[in-house]
Amino acid sequence: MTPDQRQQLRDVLRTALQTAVLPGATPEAPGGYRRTDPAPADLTPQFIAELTTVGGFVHQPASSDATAVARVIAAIAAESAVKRALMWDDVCLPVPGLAAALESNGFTIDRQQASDLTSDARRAELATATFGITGADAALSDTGSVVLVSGPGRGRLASLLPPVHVALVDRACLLRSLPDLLLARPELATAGSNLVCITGPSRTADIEHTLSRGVHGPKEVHVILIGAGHRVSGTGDDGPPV
Amino acid sequence: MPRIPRVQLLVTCLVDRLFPDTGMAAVRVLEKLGLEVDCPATQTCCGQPAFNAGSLDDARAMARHTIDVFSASPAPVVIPSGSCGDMVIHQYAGLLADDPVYAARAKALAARTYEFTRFLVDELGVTDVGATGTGTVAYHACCHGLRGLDVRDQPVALLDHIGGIVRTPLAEHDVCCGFGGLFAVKMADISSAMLARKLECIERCGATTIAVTDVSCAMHMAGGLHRRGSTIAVKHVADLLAPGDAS
Amino acid sequence: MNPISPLPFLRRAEDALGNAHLNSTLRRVTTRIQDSRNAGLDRLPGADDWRDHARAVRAHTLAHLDRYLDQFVTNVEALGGHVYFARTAQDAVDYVTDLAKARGLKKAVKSKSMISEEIHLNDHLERAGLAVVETDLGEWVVQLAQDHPSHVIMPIIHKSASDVADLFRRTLGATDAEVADVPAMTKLARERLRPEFLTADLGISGVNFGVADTGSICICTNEGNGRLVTTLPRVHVAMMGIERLVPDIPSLGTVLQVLARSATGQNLTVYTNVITGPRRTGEADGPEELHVVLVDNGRTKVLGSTEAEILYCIRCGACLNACPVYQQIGGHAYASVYPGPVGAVLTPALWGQQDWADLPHASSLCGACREVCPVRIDIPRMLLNLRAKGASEGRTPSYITQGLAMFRRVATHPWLFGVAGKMAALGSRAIAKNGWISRMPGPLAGWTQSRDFPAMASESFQDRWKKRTPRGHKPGETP
Repeated sequence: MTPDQRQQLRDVLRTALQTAVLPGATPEAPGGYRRTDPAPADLTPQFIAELTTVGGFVHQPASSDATAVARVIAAIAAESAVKRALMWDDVCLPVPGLAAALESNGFTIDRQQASDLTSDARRAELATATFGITGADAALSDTGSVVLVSGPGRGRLASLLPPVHVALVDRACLLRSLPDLLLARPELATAGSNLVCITGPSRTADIEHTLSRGVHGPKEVHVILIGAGHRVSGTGDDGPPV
Repeated sequence: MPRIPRVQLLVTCLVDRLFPDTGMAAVRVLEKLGLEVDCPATQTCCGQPAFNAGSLDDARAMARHTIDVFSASPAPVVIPSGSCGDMVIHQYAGLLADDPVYAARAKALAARTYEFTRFLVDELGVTDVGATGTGTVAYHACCHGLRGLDVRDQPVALLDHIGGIVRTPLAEHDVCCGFGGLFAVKMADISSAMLARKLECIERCGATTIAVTDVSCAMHMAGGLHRRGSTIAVKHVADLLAPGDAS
Repeated sequence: MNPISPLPFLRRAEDALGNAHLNSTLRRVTTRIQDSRNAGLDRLPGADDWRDHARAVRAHTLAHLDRYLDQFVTNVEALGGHVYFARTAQDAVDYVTDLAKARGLKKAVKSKSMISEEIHLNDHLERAGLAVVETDLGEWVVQLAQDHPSHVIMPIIHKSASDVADLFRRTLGATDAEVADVPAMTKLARERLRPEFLTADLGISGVNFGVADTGSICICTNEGNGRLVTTLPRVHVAMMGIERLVPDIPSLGTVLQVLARSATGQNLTVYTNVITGPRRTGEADGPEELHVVLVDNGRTKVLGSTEAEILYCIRCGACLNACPVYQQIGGHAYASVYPGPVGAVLTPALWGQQDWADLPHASSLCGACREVCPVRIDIPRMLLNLRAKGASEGRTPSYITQGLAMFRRVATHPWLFGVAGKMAALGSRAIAKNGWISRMPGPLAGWTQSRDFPAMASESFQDRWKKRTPRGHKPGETP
């Protein structure tokens, strides 16, 4: 906007504000609400419960190494004829060597390149991936959400185009809620051009208020919890979802 | 609990002309509880119909008159109506905010005005007035009382202390019956549809009487029930607390 | 904007009330969604405090909108985004059309934007030669059916599954198998729209909230179309009402906490998307260009009025679901992009009462809307304001103006009140049978359409009171 246009906008608003009736308006910005309810010691059980309620799946392999994680993903993909994974770059994932391990399990790996979207052919090809594999910058136990920030090597499309999204989540990044995250780490929201908070698979209830999953985004969301952090004992597994 | 020796009754124009028994019942309850009741003869209408229609000038005229009538005495004002109560307690001050004389008088009146059931329960601390009755009663929460004046548990507490009656829940008890004042006539189709839904719930609930805190809503529901040939009665809580006796 | 239908409101309401399918759908869906909303807020410890705080955020932002919008513009532009302030609907339409022409854009995919409906953006873009594809399932259905949405968040609540199946057969050539049930139709939508996302060069979205401090825009969807529309096409245009702003990222968190719960009972929508600027260096997706169109179209007028509070609205739709009038007549009867309680205030506030005088009266003032609003907007207060404005503009039917004037005269003269009352009682008892009147005269006939009216008492309360205290003692006097 030109300086004149900005002035025009300010003026038009200031004029309106002279006669505005705005009950409850305070001179100081209220900021974000700070909750007062106490936090549970272990956020994992609620995270699992919430994600499961919205139709997602949580896996807790006994080990966080590439072989174990690849085996979980292979099990998820067991029924798929096509095993083509659109992945974040290795350096962006919390499990080193995962891409190679997936290739050993019969996956073709695809990665986004900077020039991809300028090519129709490449756009179509990206859309043929049957699995999207990403990390996560945070996971939220109140809602069963994973939070992904975009950046080099961590494109948005991996969690968006394929019908199945697998998010590798380090337990250490579990937080209670989106408001908590945005209060504690507001800079995360602008670290990339996009921060997305994903809560389960894509859904709609537009037709007769009947719930249907997998509209435009992924139909399935799987979270693989890795790393130390807190763990509910005795539920480690390498395969089927918890 | 400070002793309240005397109160003024703002009887409301609808009670005065259409349901005088309800007014008398309210008086009997208050007198039974040891209060002196005045009923200023020059009261007329609180002005809500004009206010709701957007005729503020008319509404102000009636509001000033009402304030004058009830400011002659400092005694608290009791109103057997949630909607008229809301008008006096919440709307008068804003309506007369620009009036150099009446702005303050409106606030002063509002500060000592009470809806009938809130007066009994919250001001007098009374839930049992020693009433008895028969039949099954269901409570419908009239909107202005409920959302405007927080009339929630008070009528129910009073009903539950009426010996001999059984209270049963009413589905959608806090959903508007569709009266809405002039709305009932201006938007008659919509009002009738809302009424039909309310009557459906009433007929399903198994009550012989529906208890309310506003005769306006009662009139609308009773009118619909009567048209259907139903024997279910709609009564103000006051009528149930002090039935009979036409004196 | 003009009313979507040329019929008068009462006629539209009558049509809606006569539609049995609409009645049962509205009843079922609004009951269910209210239960979900209640459960969603019950699950949130301190929900009332969150709502109070959300209200405070919105109120403060609007009270300082000049400062915050200016800050927002600075921050969007700092990251290479463009901001355009569209004073009128035409300005907004022209900006987007001119941009599309200048960039040689051919196809737009759209995620939900009520502003775009307000300004009839699709029509104008199509006339300029662009293909425009709605991608929100409900909005896509509306587009295919050349219909209008009837709810702020459930656009095709008025359509049955079989309506949609028929529509898909007719407009898409869908087979019976493809429309066999809701999951099949959803799958069909995914398959048909996916290529559109991939080949579109313009993405148009709405904005749930802009964030002044960072120049971010937040878009909440469940389907994923909001993400696709703002990721794949090379140009992204975000349509944003000037009032849809919060000061900072933490306050965004606060309003998001109550938005989805109030709308559908979900803790959060599936995708809560925060976009800050166009694609950055090194990123492999996201639009090359981001344009935020700030739309006024009457909003500054509302801001300067006694109805400014309606701008706190975060578009959750809870007031629609709770409104016993909306539950009966649905959204189309309002003939506005914004139906229900919020629409009954916003529509005439934005565009005057020439076309919209009935909407503030389509309410029994029950207050259910205010009770469920996540930011506690006092809608009834503003409905009453608008009624008063309408009355002062001479829009009250004469039988009401005259009736009220007469009543005022009588009610400010107690002796007249008494006399008039007696006469009315006589009259009413003359036409009553067994204490009831089954046909009221003239404009009051609407009452007796569905109810009887009680005859007035032969002896009023005041008459009996006088007899009770024969000396008619004054207040304060002991009898």
